[in-house]
Amino acid sequence: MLKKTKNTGSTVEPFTVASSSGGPTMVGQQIAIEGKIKGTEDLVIEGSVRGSIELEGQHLTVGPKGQVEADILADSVTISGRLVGNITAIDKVTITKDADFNGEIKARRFSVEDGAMLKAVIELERESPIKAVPLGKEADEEEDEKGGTPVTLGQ
Amino acid sequence: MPSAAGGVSLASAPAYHISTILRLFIERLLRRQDPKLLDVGPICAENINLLARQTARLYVCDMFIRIDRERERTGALRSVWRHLDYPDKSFDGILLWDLLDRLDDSDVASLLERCHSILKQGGMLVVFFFGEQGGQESVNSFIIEDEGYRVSTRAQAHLKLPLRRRNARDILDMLSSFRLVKSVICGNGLREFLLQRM
Repeated sequence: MLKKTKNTGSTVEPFTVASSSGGPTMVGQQIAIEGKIKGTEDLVIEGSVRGSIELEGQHLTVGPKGQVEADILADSVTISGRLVGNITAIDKVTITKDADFNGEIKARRFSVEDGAMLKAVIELERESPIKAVPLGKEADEEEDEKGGTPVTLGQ
Repeated sequence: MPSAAGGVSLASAPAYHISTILRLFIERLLRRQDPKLLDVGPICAENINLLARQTARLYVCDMFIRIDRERERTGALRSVWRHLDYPDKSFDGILLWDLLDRLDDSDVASLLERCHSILKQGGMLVVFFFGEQGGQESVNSFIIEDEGYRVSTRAQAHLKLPLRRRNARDILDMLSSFRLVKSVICGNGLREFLLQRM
């Protein structure tokens, strides 16, 4: 559940998403939140959130109706709505075909469906470079050659 | 196996080819320190996963879908280039794929001018063309399937961008602001170009 913001003079304490035994906490379509959300249970956003979201070890879903402008830290993130901001995911970021994402993504794993609207800077765990087979000759000079012969599958 | 969606027949159409140009491009890119690469789409999870694990930071800005929506909304592309709002000399490489085949000449010029600005000196550009005879009306993504640079295509049914067929001379004229490093003609008519900003 979400606690209301407590304004204590010059500082505003963050929203706290309390742990519960039920399903994920939902920010509904008619809810708009500005501020910091921090918690230890899964969260689904179908409404509007602006600020920052920190869900240690948990999953964040921005649903198809969700509108989020926030920096996000979570175990994994699924985006089907609109999200502007930077995501740091311990595990995986998933972007569905209906999503509109603009920002940076740092994650261990990443998936995106064809059709998603994406403008992103993506950093994944790096691997050793592709072990390319030498081409056999230097190709610095202009050259026009037949090559890359396609192979037909199926018959 | 590559998808046959969008009218691509596995029996008649080449299912994949080995891309010498992509191999050269990646090899050269990885010689640069912390290379920054821009992929203009269409969004392809396989390529993102491959390329983001090779480069320091992979930039993805799907211009295919933005052009498609802009064309649908306004019938013109006057303002679509604002999405490539990166600082000058940002990138070591740009993957344009066959985007130029989907643009009018004036829009090609606008896009190449933008690419020239945001490439670092010596930065590279990969461009695919189908030429006068080849190509399909449906937009496809080119998927780098493996470390051997086997490239297949997957139809992008959500994109309705008309194919502009051009001859080789016109293509080379359009690319004259870049140095041609290498070009390869594949058996399916696809021409692959590796270009460099001087």
